Amino acid sequence: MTRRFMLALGAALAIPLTAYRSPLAAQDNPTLRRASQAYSNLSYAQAITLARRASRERLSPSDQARYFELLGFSYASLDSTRQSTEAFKQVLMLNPDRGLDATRVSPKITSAFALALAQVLVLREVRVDPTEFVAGVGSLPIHFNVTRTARLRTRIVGPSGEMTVDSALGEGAVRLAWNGLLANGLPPARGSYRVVVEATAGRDSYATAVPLWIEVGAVDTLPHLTSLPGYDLLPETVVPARSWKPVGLALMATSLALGGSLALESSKLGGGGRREILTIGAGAALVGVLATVKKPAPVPARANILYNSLVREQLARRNAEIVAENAMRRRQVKLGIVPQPIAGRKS
Amino acid sequence: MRLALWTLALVALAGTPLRAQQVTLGAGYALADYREQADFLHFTGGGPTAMVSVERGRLALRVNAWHLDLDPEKNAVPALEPFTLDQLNVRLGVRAMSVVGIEAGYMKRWVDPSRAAQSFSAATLGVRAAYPLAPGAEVAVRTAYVAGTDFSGGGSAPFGIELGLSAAYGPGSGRFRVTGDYEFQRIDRRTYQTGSRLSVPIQSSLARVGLTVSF
Repeated sequence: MTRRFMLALGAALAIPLTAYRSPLAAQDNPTLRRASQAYSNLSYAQAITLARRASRERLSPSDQARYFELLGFSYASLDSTRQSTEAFKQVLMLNPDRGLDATRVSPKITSAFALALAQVLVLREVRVDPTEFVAGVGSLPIHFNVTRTARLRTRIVGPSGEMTVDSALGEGAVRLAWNGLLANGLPPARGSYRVVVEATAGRDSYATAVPLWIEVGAVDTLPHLTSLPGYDLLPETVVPARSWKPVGLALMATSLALGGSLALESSKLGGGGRREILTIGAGAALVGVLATVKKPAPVPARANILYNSLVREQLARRNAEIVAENAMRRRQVKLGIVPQPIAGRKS
Repeated sequence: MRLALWTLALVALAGTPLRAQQVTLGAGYALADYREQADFLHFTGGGPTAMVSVERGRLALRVNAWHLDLDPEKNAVPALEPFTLDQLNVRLGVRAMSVVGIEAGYMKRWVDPSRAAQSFSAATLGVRAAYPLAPGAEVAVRTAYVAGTDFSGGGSAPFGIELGLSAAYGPGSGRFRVTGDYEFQRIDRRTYQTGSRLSVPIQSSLARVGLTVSF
């Protein structure tokens, strides 16, 4: 049990360790690598010297970011907050999404980084989620963070034209939504587009763009209903229980005919023929017995018929709504948004 | 008799099957008891029968015809001679309630030789109640007032009545059925001879057994 707990704790701690990227991460430039080594050996002044020497050499963009980060860490460790902040500002310009893990990094460094974050104008964590929606009905969520209060202008730019999604003052986390329509009110054509976010605060400005691939398709139509879920049609006829009613009716009819005949016979003619009524009367009684034995005929179930008519009425109404909705859907366009890797730039 | 054949043919032609229309054809044999004027004029016999009916919605047209050979009953007077009786009944019914309908009809009876009994025509108006007992099984009773009688031998009948009982049974839904019909008829005929009124009633009972097919 204890061993399992230790393994779980180790796995939990491993996640922030791997997520955090220190300035000692592998560099391409050998001088910069030596500077990082000096920082690891707590020789901060030497680390600064070596780093500055490395900056005079040809550095790759990633090494440039690491160079400034190494300066920021080292100056902060030497309590040179102003220089550390300036270095971190350069880091943020190169990599606006850069962040420090406060649980792993010294408070001196994180406070200098936070100071740089408050002074620089950048757009961080610009994100567009892949989604599918109907143009004009749904929307594409656009998220980003702006480090200072700035006028923010967000546009969709592409081969079909452009559309200003929003233009307003903003600070901190900003969440916008694009309804999928361009300035002309039409959905965009299939192709490559960009979400361009521009931030302006005084003389500072910053812009970034998220490339998108927009796929255009037809909106799925709804199938017609043949039944309402949970409302099955009931049988409109029911077979009644077998009874003696048929034989009773047959005997009653025979009695009526026999009695009527006897009553209506003319006495002057000496009565009437009995053979005929007895023959048919016996036959009628036999029919009654056979009908009693026979399976009864289904009879209409009025409650079920009424219920079914209501269900059919509802079904027809729902299908009429579906027809109207499908007619609308056939005029609509479904957009599939797939964001591409983000490219940031300073203006 | 010719009129009867024409009527039967006309009804059969009109019976082209349509939706919600049922045509029934039937044939059978009838036993009859016929009395007239007094108990000594008593005949019995039998003969073939035929029927056609067309039902559509609440309306029903029923045509029955029969040909009977009637012989004097053995205890009747010796001078009586046998005769043939042909009769045609045409009835048009309207179902007024679930099982009860009103029927108006016309009947014509021919007797040969004509001196043996009365030929006459009459109109009828009555009710018919038919109760379905089971699929293919039905029992019906009917009664009608007989009016407007026109006798070959003259006279009139201020009162006449018919009474009927029918039963039918067939397997399954009853497309083919065995049927039995009873018809009782009493007509109080009166004649006037040498200024005095003479009561000459006519009474007949008929039992028909046959087979029908519906389509």
